[in-house]
Amino acid sequence: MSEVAQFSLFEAAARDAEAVEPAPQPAAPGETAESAVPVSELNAAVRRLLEASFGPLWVIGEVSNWRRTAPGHCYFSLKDESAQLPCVMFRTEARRLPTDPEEGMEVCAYGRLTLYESGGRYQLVVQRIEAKGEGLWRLAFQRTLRRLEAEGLTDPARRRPLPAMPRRVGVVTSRGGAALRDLVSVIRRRAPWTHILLSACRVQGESAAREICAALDAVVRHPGVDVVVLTRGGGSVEDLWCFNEEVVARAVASCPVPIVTAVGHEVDVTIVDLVADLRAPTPSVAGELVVPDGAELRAGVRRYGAALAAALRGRSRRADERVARTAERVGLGISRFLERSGARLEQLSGRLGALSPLATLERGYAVPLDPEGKVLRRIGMFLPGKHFRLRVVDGEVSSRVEALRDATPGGSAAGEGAR
Amino acid sequence: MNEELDFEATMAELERIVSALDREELDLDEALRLFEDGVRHVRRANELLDAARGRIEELIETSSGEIRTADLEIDEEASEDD
Repeated sequence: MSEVAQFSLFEAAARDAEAVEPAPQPAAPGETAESAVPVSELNAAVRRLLEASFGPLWVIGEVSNWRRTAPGHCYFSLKDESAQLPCVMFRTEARRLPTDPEEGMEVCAYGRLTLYESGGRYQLVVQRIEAKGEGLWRLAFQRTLRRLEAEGLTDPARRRPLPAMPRRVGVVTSRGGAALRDLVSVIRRRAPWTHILLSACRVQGESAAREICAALDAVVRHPGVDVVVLTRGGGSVEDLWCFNEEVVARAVASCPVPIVTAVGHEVDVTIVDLVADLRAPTPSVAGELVVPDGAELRAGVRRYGAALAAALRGRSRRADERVARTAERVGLGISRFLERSGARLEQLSGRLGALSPLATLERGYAVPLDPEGKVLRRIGMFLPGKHFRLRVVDGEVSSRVEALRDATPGGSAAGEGAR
Repeated sequence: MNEELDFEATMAELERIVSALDREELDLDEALRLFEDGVRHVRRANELLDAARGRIEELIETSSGEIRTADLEIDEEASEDD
């Protein structure tokens, strides 16, 4: 029996069943032991029947007995209270799942019904699985996060400070994206001297995770890159998914220089954000976080300039004050010296006055002097008839020795004495 | 050479100079020397901020698997689209 004939036979049987007419044929295949149908033929026929009768469809149910085989194919059942449906998801499709669903998780599976001929098992060949809401994505997120947390990779204490003034900013993103443009324009505006090095990669799709890791690795190898920005513009959960992948998160966590992430919009938090040194809500904010504001730096320099001038003014004011104080002290010293000197002078001149012979002459004494000006103290120094001078307070008197008289006890008078 | 260190170091030096000038015990010519030093540092800091525009480059892998850099043109004027 040819396959075509066999198929039409079963088709005919199906049509007849629908028509609710009794089968008129006497010796249809399988009707008698003699016309028995081989198992493989039957299964093949049922499979064709099944595949022809149902187009691809969505089935809702709870996941049961999920298992992933070594080659990557996944087997499970969908069930509800009273029935279950065997399902298979082959490797190509299964690879796109963010994670394996949990036991009992309610999902919608999209696929084609078929019969697994060698096992005689009817099954749904699943192409897509969607959990309620973002169930699978959230589940995958939580699972990865738990693993990273367990290793301490999300510990805030791991976060490094960013360099105050990076020489070269490494950027990992797609070449044509708005994220790159926004980031570059902010860096240009704030710190135009900063070098920027792009390491381009795909930021969505199946190869994205691998490409991001490679681009990150390449950019940090480049000399002079002292901070990295990993960024991407907004997108759906699925678009941003690569930033939740464990391999990317680990590459970010082990980045040798500080790394800032800016993925999607402000509300999108991805796993890389949780292991990075800093998360920026948008690419533009990332630019503001990685480079200083040149205008602020300039203001800082100006403040130092002003502080220098003020300090110098302070110094010279203090110096002036010191000079004034010193001068004051010096002046005080001089006047004190003068005061003291004056008093001493007076005292000295007083004593000088007391010693002066003029004072004695004033009192009425006179001093005899020989022509040479020698004071004549004894009568023996006077020679009778000799001239001498007599010094009185206001002048001299020319005199002559007339007679001499000794006034000492036992002395004899001689001559005539002074006149 | 190292712009970061240079600017940061310059600012740190300025900080040191200004606080030294604020102390009493310096004599005037020492203070004047510090002041001149400070003015030089202010000039240096401004020069660093006025440095030439940084380059924008891209890492390129050559057909031989070697990585090199190439200048990258970015149209900064384009509007934000996401």
